Amino acid sequence: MKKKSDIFLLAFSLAGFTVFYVAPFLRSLGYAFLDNAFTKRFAGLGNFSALFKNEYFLLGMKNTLLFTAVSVPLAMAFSLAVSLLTVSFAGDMPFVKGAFFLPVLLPSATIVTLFSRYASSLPPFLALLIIFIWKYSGLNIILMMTALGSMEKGMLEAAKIDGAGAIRRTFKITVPNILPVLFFTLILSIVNSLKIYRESYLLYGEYPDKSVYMLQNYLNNHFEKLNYQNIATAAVIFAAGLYAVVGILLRAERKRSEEIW
Amino acid sequence: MKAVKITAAAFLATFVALTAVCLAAGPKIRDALSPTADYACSEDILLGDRLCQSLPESAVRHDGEGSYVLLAVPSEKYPERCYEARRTEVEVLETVDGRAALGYGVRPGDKALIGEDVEAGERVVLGREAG
Amino acid sequence: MVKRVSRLFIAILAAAFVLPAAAVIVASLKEGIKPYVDFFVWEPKYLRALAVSMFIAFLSSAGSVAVSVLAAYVFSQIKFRGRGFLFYIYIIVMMMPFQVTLLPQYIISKALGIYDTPAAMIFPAVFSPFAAFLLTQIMKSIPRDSIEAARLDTSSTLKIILRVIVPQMRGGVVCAWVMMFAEQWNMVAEPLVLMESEKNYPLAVLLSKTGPGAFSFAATALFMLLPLGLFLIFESEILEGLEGYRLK
Repeated sequence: MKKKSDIFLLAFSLAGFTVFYVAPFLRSLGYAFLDNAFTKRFAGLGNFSALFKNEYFLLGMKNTLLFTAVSVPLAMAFSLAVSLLTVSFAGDMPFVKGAFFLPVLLPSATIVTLFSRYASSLPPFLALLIIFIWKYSGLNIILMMTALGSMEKGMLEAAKIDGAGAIRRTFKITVPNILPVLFFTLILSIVNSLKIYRESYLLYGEYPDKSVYMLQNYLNNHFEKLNYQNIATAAVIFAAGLYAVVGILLRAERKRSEEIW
Repeated sequence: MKAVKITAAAFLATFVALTAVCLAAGPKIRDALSPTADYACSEDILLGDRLCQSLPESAVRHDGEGSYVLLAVPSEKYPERCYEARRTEVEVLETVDGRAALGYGVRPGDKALIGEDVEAGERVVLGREAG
Repeated sequence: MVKRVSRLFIAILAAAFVLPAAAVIVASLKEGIKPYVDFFVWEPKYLRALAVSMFIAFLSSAGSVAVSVLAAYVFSQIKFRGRGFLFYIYIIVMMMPFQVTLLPQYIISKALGIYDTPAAMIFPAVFSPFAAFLLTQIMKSIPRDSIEAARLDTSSTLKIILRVIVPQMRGGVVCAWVMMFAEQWNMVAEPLVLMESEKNYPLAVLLSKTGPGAFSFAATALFMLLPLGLFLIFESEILEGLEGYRLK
């Protein structure tokens, strides 16, 4: 019954998406393979090998990977624990969900103003970790609680009668049941962990402590020096990394459930 | 719950309206809240064979750090054309007929503020030019 | 007993999540309302930046929802070749932090002549893939029958979207709008790259330069007022929107 011609409704989004994201991205790809913007000679993979010898690029990459690898699982575990604990009585404490979600909408300036005034002695990595969990867990918690709430209770009851302990029930029944949502929140958490540069920039400026010098710092600072080759090359590497991560995640997810995307 | 929503909505509407009003009527509001001060323009005066600037004695102020005047200078802080009072140190060489001859600090045509209710750094509205 | 303790624990945790917002407001009132008067009367630079923030965030979030509802309809309801791949590209771009797309966006805004104007911020935001992604996920949960039934009455898909789908997922649309608004409201790196005149900067950028003191707390408090208020007004819609999201 669906009209095929309705596809044109996608045109607005797709046109803008192409003009503002895809096309300029492809355009800037060119820079990654030129030796510089003036002579425009083909440089092959020269830019790439130079970048992998650049101390700051490597530092930024290491820190970005480290922050994502630490913060995402931590935020996921925290959100899941809170959701599991809260879901049984969320009905009589309606304000709880709202309270957890509030920081998602609050501007970074709120927490940054407080941190720079009262918690400036905290190690930068830890400070960013706390801010990340505070700011973005709410979204995970709401989504997880919804999934938990709509889960069928029957299976859990049956397992309880069979004598399965609480931890075993959680990992054998609950977690597999809400896997699609866990996957969705995982993607959102990765997206958000890459946004922590905003807080880092507001707190520590363009040249932060070495422990939180992220790839985004590298990109931003080289942009200011008009070093197009460097940022285009780094952006290609970043995008390729994301492409691989999302690909792996999607594949893992597809194995478990048929039709998600 | 509904009360919270209505209060929040009313509050936000007020906030946006206040922003719009203060943005549009900002210059007028600031004029109304700024002190009005009369001023005197600096004039040449011949002291022996030396040409100096002079201001009415009432424009020269004194405190623990010495003598100074408050000059009305165009302010850059506000989008509208307006003045702010800038403290400028001066040296009074001599007083002739109620006018203070100044050694340095003031250039020809500078407007010096007269009156007690102005403070350094403040935005001011210029009143009348003192005779 | 265990339940009591866990209730108490969650209540304290929830309070801790709200605490920063409350702390900023309390700290801003230490010197009475003077910093607020300063903001509205004596610091026109900040007031202007607030207006710029409002302008950018309202326009870009509204535009983004309008464009994305249509895109989400196609992604969620129509099967066509390449749909999975296209959506995959949307997700990848959504995941990229701004710094990766900074050079492309700078190039395109120069090429289109919108560099250094609010439009340089608004256009990319209108077409940002996040709202399309979120709305697609939410729209998948709409029962097909209701759309099929509406087809019998009208042949215009646009009418169906406006009269049947949007009202059914009102929570989702509001949720996407408020989240986009908050995201645009919070932009810091983007204006620094896409604009060079300080008079066009939104408040988020200026707040990073206020220095300590009651004024900076007051400015921060005012800055979070709009997202905070939208949250209070639309809390039930936002939560409902996120909850309406189901993966089948």
